[in-house]
Amino acid sequence: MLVAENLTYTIKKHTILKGINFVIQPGEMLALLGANGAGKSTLIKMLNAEQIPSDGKVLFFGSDLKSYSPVSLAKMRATMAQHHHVSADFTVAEIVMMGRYPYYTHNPKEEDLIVVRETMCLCGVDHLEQRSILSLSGGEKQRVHLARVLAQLWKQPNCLLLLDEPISAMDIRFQHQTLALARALADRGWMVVAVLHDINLAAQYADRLLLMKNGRKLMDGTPCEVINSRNIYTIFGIDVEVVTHPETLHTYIVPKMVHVNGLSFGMI
Amino acid sequence: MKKKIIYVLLVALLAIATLSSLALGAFFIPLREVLLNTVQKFGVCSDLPVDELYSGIIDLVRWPRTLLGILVGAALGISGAAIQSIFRNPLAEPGLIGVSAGASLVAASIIAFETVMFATLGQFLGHYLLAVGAFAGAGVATWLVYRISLYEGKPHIGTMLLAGVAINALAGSLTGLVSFLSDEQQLRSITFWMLGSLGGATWDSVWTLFPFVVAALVGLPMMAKSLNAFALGEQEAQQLGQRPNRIKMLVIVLATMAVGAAVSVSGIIGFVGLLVPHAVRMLGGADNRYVMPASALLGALILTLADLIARTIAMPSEIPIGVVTALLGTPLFLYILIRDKKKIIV
Repeated sequence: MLVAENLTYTIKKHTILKGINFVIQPGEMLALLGANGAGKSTLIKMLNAEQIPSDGKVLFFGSDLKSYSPVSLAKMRATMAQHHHVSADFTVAEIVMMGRYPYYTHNPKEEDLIVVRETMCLCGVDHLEQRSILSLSGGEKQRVHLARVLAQLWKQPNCLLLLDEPISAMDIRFQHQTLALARALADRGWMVVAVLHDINLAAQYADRLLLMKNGRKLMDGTPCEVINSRNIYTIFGIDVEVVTHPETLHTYIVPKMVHVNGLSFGMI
Repeated sequence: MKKKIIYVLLVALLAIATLSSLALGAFFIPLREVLLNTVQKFGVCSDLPVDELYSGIIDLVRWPRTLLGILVGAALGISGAAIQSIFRNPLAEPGLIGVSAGASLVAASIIAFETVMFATLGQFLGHYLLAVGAFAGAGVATWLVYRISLYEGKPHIGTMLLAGVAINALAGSLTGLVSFLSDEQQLRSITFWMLGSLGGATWDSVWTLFPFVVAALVGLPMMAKSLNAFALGEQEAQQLGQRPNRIKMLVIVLATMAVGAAVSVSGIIGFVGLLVPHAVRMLGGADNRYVMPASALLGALILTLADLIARTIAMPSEIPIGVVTALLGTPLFLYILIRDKKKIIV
């Protein structure tokens, strides 16, 4: 269980996050939605212990996140960052194997090799195994890092998976494949937090959506609770029509109008 | 498998280079004598019919010099590999954090002003003055660069890079000033020191350098996994359970000690720390578990060969080893670079 209590982050008098509270239970997938600069990535960095909150705390299974040792935390939570820049010419297999670093000292065990193979297959990068990471396309790179992050937590109980815009460079097939995978992992008891920009995809795969605006939490609830044209306008400043799919009953939005500097542009 | 072949090849070549280095020089020693002497040295059997004259030269001159070359080369190679990893920058090398510039400044000052300023110190340290001074200079310059890079108690790599450039420039200009103030003979000594030489090798210098290099050879490969994770970025390394700040500090301490000690006995030897790790990566990939030991081996090999050439090509005089490393190594490196260009650029 993960509890965020009054999370606040201030840097040089700029408040990036202010008083954020929420709870995630094992088995839940939470999507963070918000405009550019709303504080989503900063919130992820509070949840993965990369940065220490100025005020408030994160309780991870009852203990403050700060009290975990780096290695024990590495076996319980993994983060897929928004940007990746690998500075040396590693192969795909070597990069994915890095996810197993918390589990061995110098040479990988049989188990580690199996896990790496499994996650590479799941993310559809097994055929790229011996390719250099530097030679891949943006979407392929994202899938490799996803495989690495999954390898880090594979077969572990009580996991927290943090995904910061995990599908931003992927084609539509892998976008769905990735989110369906995250959904399946949540169903097996992982906690998943994903920053997403596609509201429709978020509504389709996440249990709950947390809407952020200017570093604060606006709302937190199931897709059909929080997605309405008023909330979307408040956060993104666009007019949308909210539709319910007749068969799946998922909530969808269809943009109608966007406003730029007092001018309005129709979208139909 | 490929890596095993590279290791075997490097070790075999290093053994050949070592034997050649023992045999060749101003005075040629037959290979048979070299082998007999080597066998005896490692205590396999002690009653071999060795020639007194030959074994005297091998023991007092060739072995210290060869070993010094191996140690200096290994120190430069492995430190270069580790420094490039923590800086996440292919252009990084030990010199970047001030090691060589600090050592040069102090060494030049000692050469130019020994009689004026360092007389008392010189009485204590004797002919070690230059080595001790250069080591201290390397340490102080690196410490300054490291201190400047601290932000909220943690070393910031980008700042360290810029601070290194600045301290290098400062030390460089001061060295220039010292050179300007020195006379012809001193200027020649300064220039030769800065081009590097293993000419001053003695068993004492070998044993002084030994612990510093061994510390790096043992300590740095133990951090190979962490340094691999650095390629993903410091935050990612932290997410994988590594402690980036501790790793950065350890790498800088070990690399500075090894390279500082190497520079203090051999002068500045360029090229090796920068290009050897690249050559190693182009041959067998970027995994630091392989790159670091292989860089040490290749560094040792290149330096042994370079020294062999430096002292035999213009017999009876010697040319500076720094000149040879660049002349010998650059074409080889450029060849690999051109061959593998496609792999690097994409």
